[in-house]
Amino acid sequence: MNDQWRRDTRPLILEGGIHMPYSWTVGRVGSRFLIELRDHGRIMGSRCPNCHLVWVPPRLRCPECYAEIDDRAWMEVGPHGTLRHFTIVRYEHPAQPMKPPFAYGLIDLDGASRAITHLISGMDLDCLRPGIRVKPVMESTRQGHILDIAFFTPVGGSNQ
Amino acid sequence: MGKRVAITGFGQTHHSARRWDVNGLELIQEAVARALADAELTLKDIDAVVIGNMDHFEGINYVDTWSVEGCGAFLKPIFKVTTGGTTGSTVGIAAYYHVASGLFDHVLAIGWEKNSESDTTGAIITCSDPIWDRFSYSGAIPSLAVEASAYMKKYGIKQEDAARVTVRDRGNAVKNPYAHLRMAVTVEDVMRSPMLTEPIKLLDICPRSDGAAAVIFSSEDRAEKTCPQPAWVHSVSVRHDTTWFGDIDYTEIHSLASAAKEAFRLAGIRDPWKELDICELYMPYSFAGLKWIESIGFCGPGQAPRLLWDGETDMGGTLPMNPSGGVLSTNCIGATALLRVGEVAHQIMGKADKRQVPDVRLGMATGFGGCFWSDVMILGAEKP
Amino acid sequence: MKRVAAVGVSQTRFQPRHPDKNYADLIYDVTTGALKDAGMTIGQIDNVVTVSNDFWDGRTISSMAVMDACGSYGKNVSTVEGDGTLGALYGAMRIWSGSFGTTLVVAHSKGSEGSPFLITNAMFDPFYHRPLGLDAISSAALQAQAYIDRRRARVEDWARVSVKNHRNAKLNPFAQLPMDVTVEQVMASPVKATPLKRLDCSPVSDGAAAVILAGEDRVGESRQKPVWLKGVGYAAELHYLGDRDLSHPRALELAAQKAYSMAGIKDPKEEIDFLEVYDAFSYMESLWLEGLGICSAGEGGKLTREGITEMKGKLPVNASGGVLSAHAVLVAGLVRFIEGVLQIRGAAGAHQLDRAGMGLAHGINGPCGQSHCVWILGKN
Repeated sequence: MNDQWRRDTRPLILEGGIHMPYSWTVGRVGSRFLIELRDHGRIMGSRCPNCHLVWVPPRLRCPECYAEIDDRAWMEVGPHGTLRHFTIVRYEHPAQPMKPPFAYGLIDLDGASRAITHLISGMDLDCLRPGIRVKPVMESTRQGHILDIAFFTPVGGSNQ
Repeated sequence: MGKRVAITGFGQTHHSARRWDVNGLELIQEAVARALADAELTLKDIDAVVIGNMDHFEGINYVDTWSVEGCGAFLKPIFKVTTGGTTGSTVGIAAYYHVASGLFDHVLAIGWEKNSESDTTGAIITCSDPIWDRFSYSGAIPSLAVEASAYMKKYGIKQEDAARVTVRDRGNAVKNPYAHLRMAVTVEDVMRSPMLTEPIKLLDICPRSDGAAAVIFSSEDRAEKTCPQPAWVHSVSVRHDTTWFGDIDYTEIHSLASAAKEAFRLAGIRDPWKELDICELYMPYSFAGLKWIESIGFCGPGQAPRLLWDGETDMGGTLPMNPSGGVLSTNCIGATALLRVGEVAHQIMGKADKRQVPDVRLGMATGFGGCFWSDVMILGAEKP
Repeated sequence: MKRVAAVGVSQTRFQPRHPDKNYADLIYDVTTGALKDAGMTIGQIDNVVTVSNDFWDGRTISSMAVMDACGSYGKNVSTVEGDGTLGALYGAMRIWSGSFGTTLVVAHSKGSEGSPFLITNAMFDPFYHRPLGLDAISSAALQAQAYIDRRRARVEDWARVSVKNHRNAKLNPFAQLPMDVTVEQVMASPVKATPLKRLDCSPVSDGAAAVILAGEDRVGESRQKPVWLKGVGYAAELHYLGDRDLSHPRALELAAQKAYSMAGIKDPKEEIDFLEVYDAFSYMESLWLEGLGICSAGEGGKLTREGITEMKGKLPVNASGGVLSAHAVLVAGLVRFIEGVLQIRGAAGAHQLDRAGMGLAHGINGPCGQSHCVWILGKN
């Protein structure tokens, strides 16, 4: 059996892609959260009637104990919060909302039991420290999207 | 054999073209909450979760970890099983093995899909091999049309014969408050509906639905303690034989014939047509309701139309098929095959409400995938 | 519960690209490889579990690509979409259930064929995480930072993990990145996202692996000595990064507890001889050792610093070079399992450890180790 063809043949690569648009249903609960963000610049949370944890964004059911969370259990949280952890990203990809270097952070908003994840900006990134107080900077034109919050920034400016 | 396993609870969502009110996680929660209520269990009783859907239909990767809060799986064992259109049945079958292994007492099987979130045909085309099959594969319907055409030609079957299948299932769905399509149709309605790909017309084919199903599988002693009439798993069988679309034999659905044969043998069923009390047959289109029941062995080749026209598969017939309304009435793909399992279970448990078939002792649920894969589960009122 | 063992294994070389092999080719290689290892034929395989991911493969129903290559025609077969350790678990369940005597478990992944950024960005929820542009690296960086902030972990200790694992990889013919690097070189490598530098991160590889499992009444069909599955556990945390304490791997603690309990292990650091853990990033080796109860919270770095986890140390970790040296996504967990089997058999070749009677193999799934699976494997 002549196997020479295996050595002689350079394998081909077929370039292609999958282009799939999606239209994700936000649902009533998520819509109310994003609409509050859009129309009033307010960040909302909801409190589980059973374990009393305040979830941001609000949920239909408590992620930990599964109890149904009522519409009336909603409350505003933040807008200020404490930066729990952050990372400064230095590699680039077109799907990123900002050009590096930029920072992600986990923010414990006042009144919330858990942290939210978002961008940190508007200051010299080398001055970032865990534990600083941050506040959201809202986009002037908002669409009902998590990036209606453009990013979080230190309270009192960048000289902390 | 390992431990005996029974289904002790089943819940599903109200299926529709688009569930605007809930996101994917909340859709799952609706089915899970109903299944727990049905089984009279709480999440504390659930030892493990197994979930399935078709990734590209919602564009979410690692659905097992994304869905943890939806499934009630916080700090619980969970993994994902996905096998295309058969996902719902392989998820149910996986839950069966979870319990039969002896590792867990109550396992939650979840199937779900939000078809409204994507272009279904665009997504399903990506199931074909990109180098050899993708450029000629244009979705599920054309390959089924090839099968239907071959069948019609061989046995002289008419489009009206297939339409009679749609009439049966859509009529049954009227009594199913969860079904997506709940309007009865006539043979004339089917024949007048727009032709999609000869000979398949709009009313011959399943809809695209948003929906979820959750089924609780329990170990023998737990099932006996918590459930007055569990639905015992008698056998399961899976045949996923196709790799290339060009290799499919369109004259005979080998995978279903083979899976059914094995399932009947393991369950000790010698004359399925006589011994089974119901069958929830996964039929993505009406012609399957003729051709595939021949493959299962309910009748000889080419004989299925007679069974349909004689009403033998209607409610009240010898072997009622698709009392739920079947896939022609609801198709939320990751859940669809699991809905077949849940429906048979509820029929055995006597919980099928207005669509209850009297005295169901033995039932068959099948799963199908667009690449001509098949699964079978046999459930019974008695312990196997 | 009857006993189940691993009786045949096979893995491909892991490399940035296998240009001449598609998924089916890779699966065919490891299927025939595992059968040859066991001295068995495909007819002796009762059922098959495949492991793949639709996004990594760019193909819905990714398992379809390998159905014939894994010999599943006419057999019962299913697919786990998750780490290979979970595939092995489902394969074992099907034997424990009594329905099958043997299971072939196969896993494949070709990272070269897609965009790891987009594929891992897609593992995040579409509303609150994905639009931020998070991916595997930036999210891991947040976890690494949490580990520093809350448990006072030290990046120099993680650099030592990278040094150790790349050096170990020199003795593993399947590894992609056998290298001599120094702590200084790791610390000086370009920052990807603070505190992670390039040499703290695993590559993304092409490759496949296979394992044949058998119930105790069938292990005699293999020419290999069986390696027994003594215990297993798995669990998952919540998905949104902020809903978790990223420095505290609770799911791993639960998974480990279950695995130890099933294996009758009371003191893991004394009773386990070696570990293969999923170190997609250097910090993960240390953090997972804490979650596994090998040391207390914050002490993971100390184990590396004191040489305990070296091949000649008291408790070797990742003698194979770990995921840092070869990372075919999903496959890498099954490879940890396979490395455990090879060590216990005494067949690990140049990276064979002296003491290998009881081993731990570990895999993760989802962002920042949201889900963990722990295996205990033993000689007896």
